[in-house]
Amino acid sequence: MTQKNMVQAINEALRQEMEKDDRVVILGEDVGKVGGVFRVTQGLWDQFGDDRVIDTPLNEGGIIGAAIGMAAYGLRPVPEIQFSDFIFPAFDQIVSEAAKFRYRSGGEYSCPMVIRTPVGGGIRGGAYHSQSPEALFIHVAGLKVVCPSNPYDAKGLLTSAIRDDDPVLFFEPKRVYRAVKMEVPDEPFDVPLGKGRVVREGDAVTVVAWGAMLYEAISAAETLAESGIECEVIDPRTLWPLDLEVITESVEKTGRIVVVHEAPKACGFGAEILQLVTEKSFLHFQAPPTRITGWDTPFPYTLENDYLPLAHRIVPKLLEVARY
Amino acid sequence: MSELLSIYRHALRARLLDERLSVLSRAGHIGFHPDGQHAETVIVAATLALGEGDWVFPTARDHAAALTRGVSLEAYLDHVVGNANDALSGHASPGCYCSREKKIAPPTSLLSQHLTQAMGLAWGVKLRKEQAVVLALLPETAADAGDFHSAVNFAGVTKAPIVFVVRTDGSEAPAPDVEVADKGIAYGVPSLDVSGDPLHVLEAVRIACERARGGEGPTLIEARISADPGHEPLAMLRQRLIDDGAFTENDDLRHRRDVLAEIEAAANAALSGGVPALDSIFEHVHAELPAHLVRQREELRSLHGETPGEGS
Amino acid sequence: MARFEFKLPDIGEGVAEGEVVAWHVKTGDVVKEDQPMVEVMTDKATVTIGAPKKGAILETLATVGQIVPVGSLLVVIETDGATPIAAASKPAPAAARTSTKPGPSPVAAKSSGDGPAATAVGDIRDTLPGGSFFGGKAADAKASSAKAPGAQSAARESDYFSERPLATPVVRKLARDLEVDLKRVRPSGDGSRVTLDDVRGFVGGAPTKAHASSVAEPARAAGHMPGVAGRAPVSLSVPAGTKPREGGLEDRKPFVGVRRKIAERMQTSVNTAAHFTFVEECDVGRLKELRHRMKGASEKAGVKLTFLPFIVRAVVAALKKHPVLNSALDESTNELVTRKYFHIGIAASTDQGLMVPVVKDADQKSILEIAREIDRLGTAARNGTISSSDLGGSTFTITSLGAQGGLFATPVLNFPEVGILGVHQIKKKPVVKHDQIVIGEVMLLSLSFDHRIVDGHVGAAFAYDIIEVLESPEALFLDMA
Repeated sequence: MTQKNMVQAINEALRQEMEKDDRVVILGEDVGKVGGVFRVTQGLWDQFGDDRVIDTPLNEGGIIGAAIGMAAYGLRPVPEIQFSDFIFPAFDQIVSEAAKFRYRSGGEYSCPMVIRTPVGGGIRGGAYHSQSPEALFIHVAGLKVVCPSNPYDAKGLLTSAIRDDDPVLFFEPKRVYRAVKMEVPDEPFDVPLGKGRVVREGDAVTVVAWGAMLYEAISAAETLAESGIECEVIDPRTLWPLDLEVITESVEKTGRIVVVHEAPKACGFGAEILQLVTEKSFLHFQAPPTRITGWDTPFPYTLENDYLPLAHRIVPKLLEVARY
Repeated sequence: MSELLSIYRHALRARLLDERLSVLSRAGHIGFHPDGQHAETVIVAATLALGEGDWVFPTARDHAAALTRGVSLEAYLDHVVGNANDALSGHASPGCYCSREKKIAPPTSLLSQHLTQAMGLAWGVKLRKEQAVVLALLPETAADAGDFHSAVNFAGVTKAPIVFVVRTDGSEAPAPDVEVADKGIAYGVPSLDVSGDPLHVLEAVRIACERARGGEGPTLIEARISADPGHEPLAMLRQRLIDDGAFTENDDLRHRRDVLAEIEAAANAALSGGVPALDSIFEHVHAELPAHLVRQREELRSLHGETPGEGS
Repeated sequence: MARFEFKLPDIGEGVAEGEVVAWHVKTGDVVKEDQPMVEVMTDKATVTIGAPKKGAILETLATVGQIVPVGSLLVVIETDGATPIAAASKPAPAAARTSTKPGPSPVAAKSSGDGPAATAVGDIRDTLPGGSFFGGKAADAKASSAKAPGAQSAARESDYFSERPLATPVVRKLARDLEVDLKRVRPSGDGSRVTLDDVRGFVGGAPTKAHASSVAEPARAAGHMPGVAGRAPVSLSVPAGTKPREGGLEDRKPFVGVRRKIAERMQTSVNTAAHFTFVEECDVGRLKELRHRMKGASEKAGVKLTFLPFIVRAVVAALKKHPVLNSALDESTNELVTRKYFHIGIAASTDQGLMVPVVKDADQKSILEIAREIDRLGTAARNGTISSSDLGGSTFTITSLGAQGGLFATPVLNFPEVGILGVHQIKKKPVVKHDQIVIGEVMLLSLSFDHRIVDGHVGAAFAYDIIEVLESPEALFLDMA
C-alpha cells in the first residue's frame, strides 16, 4: 500500500490488467512512447511494446472504429481519447456502433472496450479541454459510463471496466489527476461497476456529485456542518447504470436532494437523477429536487471559476434546500 | 462446377431474393428492403476468394455476401421478417444480418461505418500474429465518407491484412474526377483497378489475400460494374455461360423456378414464424441485465398481463 | 353477472367529501334502481342516494360516521348481465401483440404497389393512431377548460383554509397516512405551506423533533382546529357507586351528522374569531305600524309578512355603510375579502339541528320578495327538502331568537363572517320619550363581531344604523327609490 495519485493509480490498473490478460491493448494519440498527454500510460510501451501500446493517427473516429473491430475479433482494447472534448469525431462510432453491436447482432458480437478520456474543467483549458459530455453517452442504451473521483476508485473501477464485457466510457476528472493522493493497494483489486458510495453521512440534505465536483460538494457540506446542518454526500462512481438505491435510501432519510455537476443544466445527468429519485421517493420530498450545474453556455476560458458550480455556489443552495 | 457457374448461381440466388424482398416490402410484409443495386456478381466473386477463417464486412445492401458465406435462405428471411426464429432477436434493421460463426460482421445501414471496424479487426489479427484476411465491401458512394478515408489511412499505417473492394458504377453522386483506386494509393495502400468481370474480381481478391497472408498488408480493389441496363452484370454473365455451353436457356429457367420455390417456401415459413418473445426487447443491451432494465421489463410484461417474474 | 362499483359523486356544487349518516341497505340486500341506499351529509345538506342500478349489494365500503371523499368507492352492486362500463375498462388482451403480422399465405396476397407506400426505410402511412386529435377537438378542449375557474370558486368552502393547500410531498404523505384533509389544516409555513408539524398538531400530537427545516420555521402548534387543539380527548365513564337504572345508565350514539357538523363549525368559529357582543334596545313601534299597514297587500300576494324582511333590509342598509361587516378573512392568502354582494343567512332551527338558509342578493329584493324567499327557505329547511344551493355562501347572518329568545344573547359568528345579528322578542316596556314615560315596543338586538376585524366603535356604529332604520322604517322605502 502506497500513496498514489489518480494518474499513478490508473497506470497501475492498466499495467496489471495487461499483465493478466494479453488481449488487453491500449491505442490512441501519443499513448506509446510519449505516455499520453497526461502521462497516464507512461512506461507501458516500454514494458509491453508496439503490439500492445499503440500510437495511432490523429483520428478519433478511426481509433474507436478500429477498437470496435479489435473487440469483435476478441481483443480488449482500451482506446484513449486525449480530451473528452475530442470525442465527438468518434461519437458516431460509439453511439451507432459500439453501443449497439451486441444488441443489433442479437448477442452474436460484443464490444468489450474501455474508452478512457480526461473530463472536466478547472485547468484553464478553454472550451476544447474542459467539457463534461457524460449525459450524451448515458442517453445511449448499451454504454456504461464511469467517473471516479479518487485514486482508489479509479484503479478499482478501471480494473472492473476492463474486465467488463460491454463498452465503458471511463471519464477521468483531469483536475483530480494529480491533486489528490491517497493509499491505494499495490495489488490488483476491483471496485464493482454500478455501485455508489456514501462519502459523508448526514441527515439534512442528500448531495450527489462525482468527479472533481465531489470535492466542491464535500467542501460545501463541511461549511454547512459548522452551522449544525449535516449533509449526506454521495458519489455514484458509476454514472450508468446508476446505483439508484444508494441515493433513494438517503433521500428517504433526508427528504431533500441536490445534484451538482459541471455539465450544463439542460438535459444534464442531474435531471435524470432527480427524476428517477422523484419517481421512486416522491412522497418523501420536503424540498424541491435541485440542481447546481454549469450554466447553459459553452465552457468559457477566462471565467471558468464562475462557470463551474464551486463550493461558494453550492453552500447557499444547500442552505435554501435545508431550510425549505 | 466451374468458378464462373458458381458465381452465377450465388449471384442469381441473391438477385431473386432481392426481387422477392422488394415485393414483400412494397406489400408491407417486411419493414423495408435495401436492394442490392445489381452488384451481386462482384460481391459473390470477392467473397468466394476468401477462406473459411477469413472475415467479411458487408454493408446492408450486401446480402449476396451472407448467402455466399453459406447463410441459408431460411435464416436470412427469418432475419428480414424479424420473427421468433431470427438469430438476431428481431433487433437488426433489414439487411444488417451477421453471424460470428460464419465470420460475417454486423453490417451498417450507413454504408461506411464498418470500414474502420474491418480495419480494426484486421489490425487485431496482425497484433495477435494470427492468420486471417478481412474483406471490406463498399459501394462507390461510401468512398466519399470520412470512415473510408480513416480506414484506408489506418490500413496504410498499420499494414493490416485487409482487402477493400469498392464497386463503382459511374454513380451520379458529385465526386472529383479521380479514380477510387487512386485514393488508396494516396494512403499508401496498393490499389487495383479491375473490370466488373467476376473472374477478374475473383483473381484480384485472391492476389490481395495472398499479399495479406504474406504480411504485405492491405489492398484496395476498384471493381467497375456497368450502370447501363444493356450491360447488366448478371444478365451478361448468364449469356456468357449459355454461350460457353454451361447451361441452356431451359436449364436456367428450370433452375430459376427451383430457386424461386425455395425462396417462396422460406418466405412463407418466415412470415408465419411468430414474433420474438416479449423479453427479447431487453436482451443483449448489455451482457447482463442492469436493474433499470429489469424494472422496465417488468413494466412491459405487466402491460401484456404477465405477472412480474414470469417468462414469456 | 357484473360488478358495478359506485363511487361517491359530487352531490353538491363542488362538494369534496361527505359523511355517511345512515345506510338503508346492507350486504346481500337486493335493491331496485333508485331505491334509497345511503344517506350522506355534506357541508351543505344531507342527501339520500338511491341505488344506481338494480342488483344485489356485494359490499358497503363506509361505516356510519365515516367521512368519504368524493370519488371514493361507496358500494359494490352485483348487477344482472354484463355492464358495458366494466367490460370497457378491461385491459387489452395480450393476444393483440401477435396480430401485427399478416394472416396465412401472406406472400401470395398482394401485388406490388398495394398497401402502404413502401420506401427505402419502411412504411410511411398516412394515418396514425390518435391522428384525428387535431381535427377540431383541441378547440373543444379549450372551451371546456375555460369553465374551470367558475367551478373552482363554487367549490370554495368557508371552513377550509385553502381549497388547494400547499404542502411538500412528505407532508401530503403524512396527511394521507393520518387521514387528515390538508384543506382543513391551518398552514404555518413559508408561503402558507402546511408543514409536518401543522399536520401533527392537527391530529393532536405534539410537534416532533426540530429538524433543519423547522429551525427556520419555529414549530407553531395548530391550536385552532375543532376538537383537536392540543388537548387530550375526553373520555367519559360512569362514576363509581352510581345506582343502576332500568334501561342502563347511559345511551351512547355516534356523534355524527348535522350535529357533529354544527359542533365543528361552532368550535372553528369560537376558536378562531375574537368574539365580542354588543347589545342595545330598539323601539319598533313604527315598524309594527308599518307592518300592520302592509299586511293586507302581502296577504293578497299570498305572503306571510313577519318582521324579518324589514330587519334584513335594515341590515343590508347598514352593511352598505360599513362594508367591513360584509367581509371575511381569507387566511390562506392573508387577505381581507370585502364582498360586494349581500347574501343574508337566516339561522333556522330544524329537527335536524341548526341550518342557515340564505337570502341571496337581498339588496336587490323588495320587502315582499324577501318575505316570500324567507317563507320558502324556512319551509324547505323544516321539511328537509332544502337544496344545497340554498345553504351556505352567506355574507352576514341574522338569527331570530323568537319568543324564547331571552333578554339578550351572545350569538356565535357564522364563521368566517365577521358579524351576526341576534333579534329578540318585542316586549312592551316603559320608555322615556320627550321626558315622558310611555309604553314602547322594545326589542333587544344582540350583535356579535369578530374583534380581529371589527373595532368596537365600528360595531356600535353599525348597530345604531340598524336601530335607526328599524325605528324609522320609512327610510327603507326611500332607500329603495
